[in-house]
Parts: sequence; structure tokens; C-alpha cells
Amino acid sequence: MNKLILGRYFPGESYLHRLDPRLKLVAALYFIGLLFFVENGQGYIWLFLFTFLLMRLSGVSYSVYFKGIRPLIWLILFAVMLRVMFTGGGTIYFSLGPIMISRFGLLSGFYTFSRFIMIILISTIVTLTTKSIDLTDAIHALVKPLRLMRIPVDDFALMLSISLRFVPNLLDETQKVMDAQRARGVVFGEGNLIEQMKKLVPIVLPLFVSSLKRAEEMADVMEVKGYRSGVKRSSFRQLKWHLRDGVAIICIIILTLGVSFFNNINFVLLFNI
Amino acid sequence: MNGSPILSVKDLSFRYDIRTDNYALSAVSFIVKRGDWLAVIGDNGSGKSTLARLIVGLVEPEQGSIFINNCILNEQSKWDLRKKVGIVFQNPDNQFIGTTVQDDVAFGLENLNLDYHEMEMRVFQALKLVDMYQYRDKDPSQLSGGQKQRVAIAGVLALQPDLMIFDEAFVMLDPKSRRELLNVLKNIQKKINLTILSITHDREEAAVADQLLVLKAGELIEQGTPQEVFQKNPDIEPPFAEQLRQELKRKGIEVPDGYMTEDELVAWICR
Amino acid sequence: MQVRFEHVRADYQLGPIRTANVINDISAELPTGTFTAIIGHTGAGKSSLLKLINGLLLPTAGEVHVGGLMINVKGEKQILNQVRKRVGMVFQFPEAQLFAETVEQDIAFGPINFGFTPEQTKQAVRESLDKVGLSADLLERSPFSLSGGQQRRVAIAGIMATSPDVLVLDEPGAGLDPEGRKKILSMLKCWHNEHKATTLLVTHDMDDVATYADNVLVLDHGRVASYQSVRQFFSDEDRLSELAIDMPEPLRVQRRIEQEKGIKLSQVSLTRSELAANLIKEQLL
Repeated sequence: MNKLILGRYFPGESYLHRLDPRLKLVAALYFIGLLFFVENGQGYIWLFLFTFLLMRLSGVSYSVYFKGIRPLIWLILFAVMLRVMFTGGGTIYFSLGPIMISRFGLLSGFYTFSRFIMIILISTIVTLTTKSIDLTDAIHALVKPLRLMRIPVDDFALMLSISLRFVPNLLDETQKVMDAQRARGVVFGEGNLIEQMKKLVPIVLPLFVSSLKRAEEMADVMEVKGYRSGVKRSSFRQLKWHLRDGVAIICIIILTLGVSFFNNINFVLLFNI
Repeated sequence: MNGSPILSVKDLSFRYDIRTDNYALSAVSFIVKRGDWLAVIGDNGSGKSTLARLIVGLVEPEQGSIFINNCILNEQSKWDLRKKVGIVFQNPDNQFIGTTVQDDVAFGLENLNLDYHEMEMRVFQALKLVDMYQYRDKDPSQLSGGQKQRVAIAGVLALQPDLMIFDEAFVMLDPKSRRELLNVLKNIQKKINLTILSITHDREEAAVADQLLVLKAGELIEQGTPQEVFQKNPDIEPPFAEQLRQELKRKGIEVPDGYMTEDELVAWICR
Repeated sequence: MQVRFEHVRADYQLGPIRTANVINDISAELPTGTFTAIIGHTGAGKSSLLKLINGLLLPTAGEVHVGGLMINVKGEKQILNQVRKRVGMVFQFPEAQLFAETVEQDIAFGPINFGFTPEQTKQAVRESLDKVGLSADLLERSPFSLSGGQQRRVAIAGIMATSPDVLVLDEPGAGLDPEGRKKILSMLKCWHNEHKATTLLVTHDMDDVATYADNVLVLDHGRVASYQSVRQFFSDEDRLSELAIDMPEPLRVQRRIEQEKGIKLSQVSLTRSELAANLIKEQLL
């Protein structure tokens, strides 16, 4: 549970930490979209360079990112293998029935690999440098137009932010209950599936009880502090646009220009052949 | 305005289960005057917390009535009256709604739909009062229990209530944080003329009150200044200094008769 | 059963963040039958120290000895299981671990896990319920239908049911009213005396330290800042203020009197009656 890096926040004060979360979110989505337009090695190298620059800027060591990739590496390699084995075209180096290894297959495998890795890295960069509450704010801001369709965006946003706020508490509590039951002789991760499921009861039940209690107490607190669903409330959390966010946009434009530049070269080369 | 009743409770009764005869509160009446500090003591299960929940309108009385600022509390008036009454509960974790300290203090203000600058000012003032302004960007996991309770207090202060209720708000803290917080509260009360109703089983906390109510199995059995209450009821454990005075008396020392605070006792010993 | 730490280090890994040396080279020996209070500020490593004793946290270096058993970085499962059988752990707010349908089943959970026979279990459940001062007609009730104080007692009974030789207590009185607190602690102290257990008590309340413990171990930034008898510890005024540690109430009043009178009593008072006796003895009244 503690090995997964994706989705965690790493406290810091780096340039990336201070960027507007709306920008980070949109930029990450844009970057992932861009990945699917790149069709040549130079383009990928260019994107990789950019990704590494971002990792550097985040102030988190490279090893943390690679630890984040590790749990997913087999999945990625599997997808890459499929790509390599079932894509034909160009010089064929090896073939056996429907399986073959071709020049195009290898290239396409490399592209798939690069896309996976960069998608993971970019999402990790965003979550490592953005507090979950800021991400919630960003999502809230981006889906605000849905209000026009009478979707209770604000209630959902508050719900999401409260849930996120309690994730650490819940993890903490899980750890405590697990410790308490281990101290009473439970050994986790042993026995067959049914035995393992049975061992979950002493964990899940107390957590359920305490979560209910917590929810009740919180509802009381919210009520006495005047929270009523559907009544208009103001917002203390304000997202502000800074100069650094403008700089980031310029970087993204340069990145895009670079990608189209490499795509063009490729285009020209292909044309000559 | 001091001296006029801010809260009056008349003949209040409540049962959690109306099929039984088990009254959590029965026929409780009292008055809290503006600017006073009233403490309610009693063991677990004496009905103290039920009283608090009734006053903030989280549960409805079975009989009797509650007046806040001479206005009766009911389903219609409760949202308005809650603007005048704040409450701090026991568990520091479960009343932290916001993600950071300042967000949490602002939560009640957002509900009032205040504009940003007004909120900013009130959050600033409230956090300064409890001495937590330098922590405004921290999230709850970075705070101690005592600090979280300070934030909870700030969250209520920001609403500028007339009456503030503490429902065993210090019980989960260590003695040191408890003492510090009590001092903070004393200062605030003086500074902004707050009326306080504190529900507690801590003797030292009870001893700082102007008035003391004693609840036992849902009934109000005693009411008076701490001095009167502790003197009249030897079975209620008094603060340490008074315990010491009684012990000295038992050992045959000629101590002055009657309840003594720590200051008084030390002064007498060092006379 | 003796508990001994030998150059123990430990740290926590939580996602990308590693907290280095939560326990930083601790060596200490807690003799059989002693009652030791563990004190220190939040984050000093108190809970980690407790968890090291039964292998809920494994040392990154050094050894923890519990009786003849040794826990090190390897944390062999068999040894851990034997250690946990000997160590009873009462966590803060232990009622949070209740889960079974009836009180009886909940108390029996530990004994069954540790391989007690059905008869042994049954007896253990009854005995421990009696020890914590609850009557046997609660056995068939659901633990969730009990009051907070009763729930705490049931949880403690569930830990005592395995008759541990080492009792580890993390603020067992937290959140209770003063009477409830006193009852729980004196009950635990009684049990400690009867079983000649080795007991560790984490607390913030110096009156509890003065009333119940023989020795005090002060943790500071994962190290042992002080380890001595309660009386010696509270006598050292300078060290107390250096470590920013509270005094028990009687001692605080004693110091106040001393300061205002400009004198010094020859003995520190740890309880109310000691203070009264000292005041009388020194003819201050």
C-alpha cells in the first residue's frame, strides 16, 4: 500500500508546487493528448527531455519517480510486447506464425513504451506537486459551467474536499486497527482466500463503526456552523493567476512548436523517400 | 448589557428513547448572564452533553424551552440563533472540516456567504486571538491535538458569537495543553466579553467559572459559585488546592475554614 | 519478563516520505516486574518504542529482547508470534478495536489466535472480565451497545485474557472522566502487581507518573534523554525545565510555596499526602 507513488503529494516549495493547479491539470491533459500526435523518435526525445526537466523542477529526486513506475512496469512491458509482436511493416527480423518482429513493430513498441512512461511520469509530477485540495479546487473551477445544467457542482466539490481531507485519518486509523489486531495474534497475508477474507472483518468492522461516528460528528459540526445544502455560500479559497503561470504557458507553447517541428521534419523525410 | 440573561433554559426534559423512562435530562432550569462563565459538571452519563446538543438545536427538547437573547429556540429560529451561539466539541479531528487551518476557520463564514475581504479579516483576527496565525497554511496532520482545538475555537470566534459552548472540549488534551488553552480562553473572554458555557469534568476548569452547575443522572442538583458548590458537596472532588486544605485539616492543622483557591492557600501558608 | 533494547534504530516509510530515525540508537533495560512511565513530547518516538516491543515496527538496526526472545531487522514470523503472545498491548482508545458480535467473542479473539483450547479460552474470558470489573451478564451483549467506559474495559479484558508478561499501555485513561481514569489505572496497576508483569505506560499526565510508575524513561527526538527512578527524576528541577516537562500537581504547589517563602523542602512531594506530611514536618504551618 505504501509503495504506490502515483497520487501522493510531496510537500515542497518548488516552481511546480507554486503553479496554479488549474494550469497544471489542463497542461497535463494537454501533454498527454500531445503524446498521441507524436510519430517519430526525435519528437519523443524532445518530450522526454521536457518531462525530465519538469521532474528536475519539481524538487523530488528522480529515484522517487522510478519507484513510482516500478509497480506498473510489467503491465507496460506486456502492452509493449503485444505491440511489437503484432505490428508488421518495414524490415522483418523474425517471424513465427502470426507473431513477427519487424522494424515498424519495434518502433511502435518504443512509442507505446514512451507514452506509458510519460503518462505515468506527468501524472506523478502533477500529484506530487499539487495538494489534493488544490486539485479539487481546479476540478471544481473547470466543471463550474455544469452549474448551468443544474448539477450541484458546489456540493460535490465540498464532498470531495472533505473526503480527501479524511484520507490520511482513515489510513492512520486502518494502521492503528491493524496494529491492534496483530498485537492480538492475527497474522495477515497467510492462509487461503477464505481465511484471509475472514481476517478482514476485525479490521473493516471497527473502521466502519468509527467512520460512521466520525461522519455523524462532522455533520453536527457542519450544521451548527450554518452549513445548509442548496444555500449560497461564498468561497474563501481563491485561485490567483501569477506571472509564473504565464511563463508556464509560454513553455507549453514552445513544447508544442518543438513537437510540430519534429513532426514536420519527419514528414519531409518521408516525402523524399 | 452585562448582567442581562443571554441564555435561559426553562424546565428542560429530554429522552433519547421515549419508550423508556430513562430521562437524559429532567426539568432542568437555569440562566446564563451575559459576560459570565458558567461550568456544568457531572460524571459521564449525567446529561451534560445532551444539554449542549439541545442548546445548539441539534436535538429538540421533549418538554421545556430554551431562550437565546430572549428569542425562543425552535426549528424555524435555529438557523438564525446559531449565528449567536458557537460550540466546540470534544474530538479535535472530527471537527476539522477545512483542509488547512485558515480554510477551516473560514468554513462557517463561507456559510454566511460573506465576501472574501470580510472573511480574510475575520480569519486573521480569530487566528491571532488563539495564537495560531503562523500556522494558517498547515493541514490538520501537522498539528497537535491542542492546536487543533485552538483552530476549532478560532472557527467559532470568527463567527462572532455571543455565547460559546465547550462540550468537554479539552478532555482529549494532555494536562499541559489543557492548561495553556484554558489561559488562552480566559484572556479572550476578558478581551471580547464573551459568555462561556463549559461542559467539563475537569475540576480546574470548573474552578475558573463564575457559576457552577452540577448535573447528576439528568437532574440539576446544585448551582452556585465554585466555592459554594465545593463546600456544600464534599462528595464532589474539588480542585487540588482545596483537597490539600482538607487533608491538612484532617491531619489536625488549623487551616481556615471554607473553600480556598490555590492562590489563597499558598498565600496563607506563606503568611 | 525483562525487556531490553540494544542500540535500536527504526524509521517509518510513508509513500515518498521517509521519516528517518524515529528511534535513534536506543539502549535501555527494563527489569522484570518494574512499572516504567514513558514520557516525551508529541513525535518524540513514544508510540514507535511501544511498537518495537512486539514487532509491529521492526528495528532497522539493533535488537529488542523480550525475555529470551530477540527481535531484529529480520523479524522472523515465528518469533514475532511468540513475542506477541507474551506482550499485551493496550493502544490509545482501545475500544476502537472491538468488532465481534458479543463481548465474549471479542475477548476470546486474542486467546483463540494464540492457540488457547476452548476450555482455556472460556476460563480466560471470565477471569479477565472479572478483573476489569464487569459482570458476566454482559458476555452475550454486543460490545457496541455498551457505554464508552464499559467498551474500554472490554477491550482491555481482551488484552489481559492472554495473561501477558509484558503490559504496554498507551494512555489507557485518555478521554475518560477523572473517576473513570483513576479506576482504569488502579485496576491496571493491581494487575501489574499480581502478575509481576513488566509494564510500560505512555502518558502525558505527570500525576499518573508520580502515582503509578517506579521509573521514568524520557524520550526526546528518538533518543533516551533520561531514565531513572520517579523520585530522582522529579527532584532534578533544572533537568525538568530543560526537557520542558511538567511537574505533578503536588510538586508544582510545593515549588510555588518554596519560591514564595524562599526556602527549600528537603524532599520532593509526589502525592497530596506527601505534600501535606512534608509541610507539617518542616513546620511550615
